[in-house]
This record gives sequence, structure tokens and C-alpha cells, in this order.
Amino acid sequence: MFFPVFGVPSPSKTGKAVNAAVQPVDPMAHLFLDHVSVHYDGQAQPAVTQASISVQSGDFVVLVGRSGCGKTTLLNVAAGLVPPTGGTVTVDGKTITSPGADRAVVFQNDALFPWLSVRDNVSFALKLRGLPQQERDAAATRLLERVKLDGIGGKAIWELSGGMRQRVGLARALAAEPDFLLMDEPLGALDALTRERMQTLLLDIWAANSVGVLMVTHGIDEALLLATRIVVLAPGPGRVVWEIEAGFGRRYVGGEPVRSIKADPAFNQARAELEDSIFEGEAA
Amino acid sequence: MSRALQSIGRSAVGWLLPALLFVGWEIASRAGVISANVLPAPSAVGAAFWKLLLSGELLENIRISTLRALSGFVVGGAIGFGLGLANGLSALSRGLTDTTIQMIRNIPHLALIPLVILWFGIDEEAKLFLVALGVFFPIYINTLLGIQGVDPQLVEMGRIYGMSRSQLFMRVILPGALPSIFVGLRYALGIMWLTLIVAETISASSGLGYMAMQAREFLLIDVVVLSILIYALLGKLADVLARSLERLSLQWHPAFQNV
Repeated sequence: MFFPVFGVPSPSKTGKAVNAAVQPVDPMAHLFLDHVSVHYDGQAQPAVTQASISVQSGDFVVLVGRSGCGKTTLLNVAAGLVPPTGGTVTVDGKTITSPGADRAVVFQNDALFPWLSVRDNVSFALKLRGLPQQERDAAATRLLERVKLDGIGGKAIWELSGGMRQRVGLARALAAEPDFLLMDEPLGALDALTRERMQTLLLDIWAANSVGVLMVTHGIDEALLLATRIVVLAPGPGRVVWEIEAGFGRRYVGGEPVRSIKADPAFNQARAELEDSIFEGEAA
Repeated sequence: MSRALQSIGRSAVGWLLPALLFVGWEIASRAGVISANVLPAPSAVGAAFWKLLLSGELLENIRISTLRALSGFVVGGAIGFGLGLANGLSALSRGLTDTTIQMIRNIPHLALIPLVILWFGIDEEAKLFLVALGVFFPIYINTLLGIQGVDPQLVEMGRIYGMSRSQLFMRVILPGALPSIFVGLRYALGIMWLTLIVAETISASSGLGYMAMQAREFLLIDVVVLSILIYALLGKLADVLARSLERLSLQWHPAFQNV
């Protein structure tokens, strides 16, 4: 398979340097989808066939592709929500068959519990672990600060805007200190301005927590800006057609403003190539 | 302080119309526009109320009727809630029972009165059976709908958290279904009174419906009117109780904010 490199002359080296600077010493975790196929009952075609995706701590892997290419299915397989009909999913070599605290999930629809306060939503995972109230509240306050939502812990979910809800969802996902963050179009329902702010917030959080991210998106710019690796999927049946290393997100983490990154001709060229690869073979 | 006053003012507004009706009714009666044989004046109804209150007859009948209503409600509500839960959670249970339940639902339960009298006579069981049957359906249907309507993504979230089945039920499914269950509860309370009064009117030897029927026999029209007013008040009371309960347990819901 062809592995071009976008963004920086040597993203892998830059990446390591950045990782070493921002991440505490942490054992590397490795989520691996090995030749995964999913054939839903009653469907003529498999939703996904023979897809292999590898996510390690510090990776930001983004899945892109046209509708029906199985992006969400793959994410659900990684989460343990959908069992693969072929291939295996492993975390650090161990096959997984169900959801686990090591893989937190963020959906497009925030999926917050409307009957709980913001604070109780964020610390929900800790409650299930039996942590006392005081520790949970302290953790919730800390997590809400991380997503820049200080002081709203007592609010009800219906009082929040879409962007705030998604940030609460993010804080909730981080509460269990997962090794992997699996996000299904987390910014898909947000307006353009909120979306841009959330993108940098995602990068900040990714850089500050040694997590491996697997994210599904429809936004080509978003994929380029965030990813360390972009996986392009094609439909009919869903399969991986291309994998591209990218380093624009690391440049942001390294201190370059987003505007300057997007003004880089390399960004535009990468976008053109990515678009071509996504729409290649589409019936005109 | 001012908020409390406002809230009192808001609930007082609802009583304005009934109060005006009463005043108009009293005036019309005294002016002779309404004959006392057709509709006695509120003051006459008030006098009847006072008399029955002092004799203890009224409170005894209210007590008996309330007890009947509540026991029927508990039996029918518990069965409806239980079956609603079972059918909401298990496709097998739904497949087995839902068709039957829907067929029975389409029989007006008051149409069973002749049969019920043949089965139970005019004993307590007859009233209990009818009330329970009437209460069962709104509770059953709204519990089932509530459970089926829980956002599947919230359930998925619960699975991601590794919740056990009972945790999933207590922490996700039940709170999610609660708004709909309360709708069923309020419907059921209305049907509870309706059924009981009809049943007592037709076959009973005590209770509010019986009191009204006795009064009709003796042409005590003020007592008949009093009974009807008491139905209205008891119905309103049941609704207020259900709504406060609803407000208390659904504080998170945007529809129940006291803003």
C-alpha cells in the first residue's frame, strides 16, 4: 500500500519529539483491527471487508470516506459494540469482545444522561467504580476545567449549547482515563465556528493525555488538521483504500497557529489529494 | 418571596372560573332563573354537605370509595407496570402477550359490568376488578412506550460503561422511560375515578356513587349535585398529587422547570 506523507518533512520524527515533550512516561497501548470484516444479517454486501487499522498511544487516526463505507461500523467494532464477523480486534495483543474502560467513546449525538447534572454525567464512570462522592466531584471539576467548562457542574444538560454538550461528553470520556478515545463524528452536529474551536481543543486534549485517538469525520479539513494518520475508506463493500501520514496537528501542538497551518500551500495540496482519493472511483 | 406569591397567583388564576360559575349559579338560583328541582343553589348544596359531614356519612363514603379506588389502582397499576416492563425489555414476552392485551384493550371495560356482576355480585371484588382493568391499560401502554422510546445511544453508552443488566435498567432505562410512565399514571388516575363511580352507581351498597344513587331515589337533588362536585374535587386532587410527584422526579426535564 502507498503511504505518502503530508504536512511536515518528517512527521514521524517530529511526532516522536512532540510526544516526548508533552507525554508522561506511559506504557504504549496498541489497538489493532486485524483484517476485520462485518457482515450484518440480511445485508447483501458486507459493511466492511478485510479492514486493518492500527492505533497506538499518541496516534490520532482519522477515518474518512463517502457514506456507506463502514466508518461507523469500524469504530463500533473497535469499541466492542459490534462483533466482527471476520478478523480480530486486539488491545495489546489480547482479543476484545466487549466494550471496556480502556476505550472511551464519544458519539455525534452527545448521549449525555439528561437526568443527571453536568457534574454527575462527567463522573459517571467513577460512580460505577464506587468512588465516594467527594472524590467524584473533585474529579469532575478537574475534567471540566480540562475542556474549558469551569463552573458549570451544577447545570442541567438541557441548559447547555451543542458545543458545551460535546465538551461535557469529552470530559466524561476522559474520566475513566482511557487508553483510547473513539469518536464518531464528534463535531458533526456543531456550527462551523464552534467546530473550529473544538478541533483545537481536541488537539490540546490529545497532546496532554497520552491517548490514542480513532475518529470518524466527514470533514476533509478536519481530518487533515487533526490526524497523524488518515485512513480513507471506500464503499461497496466498505474497505480501506488508502492510508496517509499527516503532521499538521503536531504542528499545532508544537505551537503553530491554525491559521498559518491552513495557509500553508502544503495543506491545500494535501486536501486536494485527499479529496481525490475519497472520490476516486465514484460514479460520475 | 415574590416568586412564591407569583406561584400562588398562578394557581389561583385556575380557580377564578369555577368561583365565577358558582357566584353566577347562586345568583341565578336566587333570582328564580334556575328551579331548585332542576339544580339547587350552591348554598343548598353547601347545606347538604354540612349535614352529611356532621352525620359522618360523607366522610365514610369518601373513605370507602378512596380505598376501593386505590386498591384497584395498586393491583391494576402493578400488573400494567410489570407487564409493560417485561414487554419493553423482552421481545419474547412482547410476542407472547401483546396481541392478547391489545385485543382486550379494545373492549370498553365498563361493558363488562353485567358479566362482572354475574361473577362477583356487588361485592368489593367487582369494583376492584373493574378499576384494576381500567387502570391497567394506560399504565401498561405508557410504560412499554417509555421503555421502547429510550434513546438507544444512551443504552449503548451504558454498555460502553460496562453496566450490568440491572444497572442498565436502574440507571438508564427506567429514568429514560419515566416521563412516559407519568403520562400513563395521570391517565390511569382519571380512569380510576371514572370506573369506580360508574361501578358504584350500578352496583354497590356503600361509597360515593351509591350515595348519589340513593339520593336520586329520594329526590335529594342537592346530594346528587354534591356528589358530582366531590368527584370533580377528588379527580383534581389525584391529578395534583400525580403532577407534584412528576415534578419531583423529573426535575431534570426541561418541561418541568419552574423558571
